Amino acid sequence: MSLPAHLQETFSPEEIQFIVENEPIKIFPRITTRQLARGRVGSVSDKSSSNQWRLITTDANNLNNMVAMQSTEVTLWLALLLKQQNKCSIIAPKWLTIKELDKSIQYEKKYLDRFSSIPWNWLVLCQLLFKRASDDFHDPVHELRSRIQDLREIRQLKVLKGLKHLNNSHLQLDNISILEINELRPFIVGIMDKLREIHSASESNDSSQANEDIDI
Amino acid sequence: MNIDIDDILADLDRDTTAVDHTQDNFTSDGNTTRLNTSLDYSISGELNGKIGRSSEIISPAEDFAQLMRCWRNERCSPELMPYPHYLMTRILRRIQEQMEHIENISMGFLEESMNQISHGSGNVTGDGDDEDDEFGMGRGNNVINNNNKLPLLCMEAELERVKFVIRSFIRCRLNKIDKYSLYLKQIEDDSMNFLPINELLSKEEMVYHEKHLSILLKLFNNSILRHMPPELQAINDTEGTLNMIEEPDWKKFVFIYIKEVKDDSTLDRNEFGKPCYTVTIEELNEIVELTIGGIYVMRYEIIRQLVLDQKAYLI
Repeated sequence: MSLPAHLQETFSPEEIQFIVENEPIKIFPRITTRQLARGRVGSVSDKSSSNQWRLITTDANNLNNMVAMQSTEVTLWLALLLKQQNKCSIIAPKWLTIKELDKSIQYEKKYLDRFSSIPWNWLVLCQLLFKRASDDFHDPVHELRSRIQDLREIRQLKVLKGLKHLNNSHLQLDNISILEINELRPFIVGIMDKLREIHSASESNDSSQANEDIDI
Repeated sequence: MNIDIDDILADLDRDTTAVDHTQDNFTSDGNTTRLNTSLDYSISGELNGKIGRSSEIISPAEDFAQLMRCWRNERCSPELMPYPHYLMTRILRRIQEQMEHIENISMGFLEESMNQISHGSGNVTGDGDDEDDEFGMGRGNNVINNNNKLPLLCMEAELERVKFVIRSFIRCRLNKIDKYSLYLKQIEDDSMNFLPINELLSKEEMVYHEKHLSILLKLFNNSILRHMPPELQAINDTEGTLNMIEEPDWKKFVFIYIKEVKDDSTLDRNEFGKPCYTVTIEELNEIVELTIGGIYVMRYEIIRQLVLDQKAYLI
């Protein structure tokens, strides 16, 4: 097939990361790309056109107006690329501090029937930032890491509980993150499809029709 | 005493953004002409003005976001989604232009380094091939040159990213075309259908679909079907014990995210005052409220219209 079998029903973790990388994030640039109004002298000024960013997926305006140490917003993949070149430092999002994470953990512990509203990309974003920008955090990374781990485990527990309620009509999973969806998808969808088939087979009077459904 | 001026402020805001958009359109090389034609066409025969709405705001960023949504919908949905013709033409043209742009810039770099070599210290031999090029930059004797390379690097990386999405999108569609080839053929022959096949598939996909099906049929016919009794020779027999035409599994469960749409008449309010869509699962006689911003696992046939209207995304 033109699409590998393991990608036909779901996304690979790399693709999830790819999706998350398209989100905006704040950075402190360490370079200045803003062109001075009077222009530069000599050979550099006529090269200025090649110095301009021209992008086709995002707004390049921010990138052409970077001033060192003035925060600006770019897409995550660009931020990571710049970080790799040591051209910027990434500002961790507000919820990624010990204080906020503790709040989320408290919330998770208090309400056992729902997920706290941390962003849909939290797991992937944390993983990326811990790996590629661990020197940019104000809080010690190992503590952040352990809190993320706590959150992950609490939520996994809730998911396990929620799986008891798999049914043939629908599920509501507000605030579940994209990576969590992705790891659960084959299981949940598979089970619910089978439950639905069994249900519809028992409903329908035409038994031969029903047998077919199960055979497939 | 408090005078609510939010609406006046909103009015002012809208004005400035409107100007921005028109500027965007004009700067992005000839998009506007294409936009007009697409609008005209979409009125004549698009489904639910889907394309028409998306072309109200045309910016590269918005188009890419749209492409990502199409890609994710396509990957998750059981059926073949309609091909986003105008979106793809725009993006493919942009990729083409960007490739030329990058080419031009790197030509500039080559020239520059050639100049440097000839102007600079005489101990470097004159043939400025690629390796010399990189080397001179890598030494980092002037910072400006290093910075000049950065946009180029990012532009190339970005191009690869867009190309990856498109490739994955098309491959996913081809996979579905393979799977549902007989079903598509049936749609094609059936003139009563809601969507003509050339809206559903791109030109290249049409060619692929026809050729691939004919090759497959030839193989089956030659290897096994012609040894069958004549009444069993049909490949698309729907009368027998098993239907040979595989239809998309319309009731497959999918994960959806309900998007916020302003001013929608189909929106209801639930008992908590939150806006929601109300859908009915007929088989179970159940009514489900889909609140805005919620994530659900739902049967595809029920939320299909919401997905086509872009009120919900598959995730």
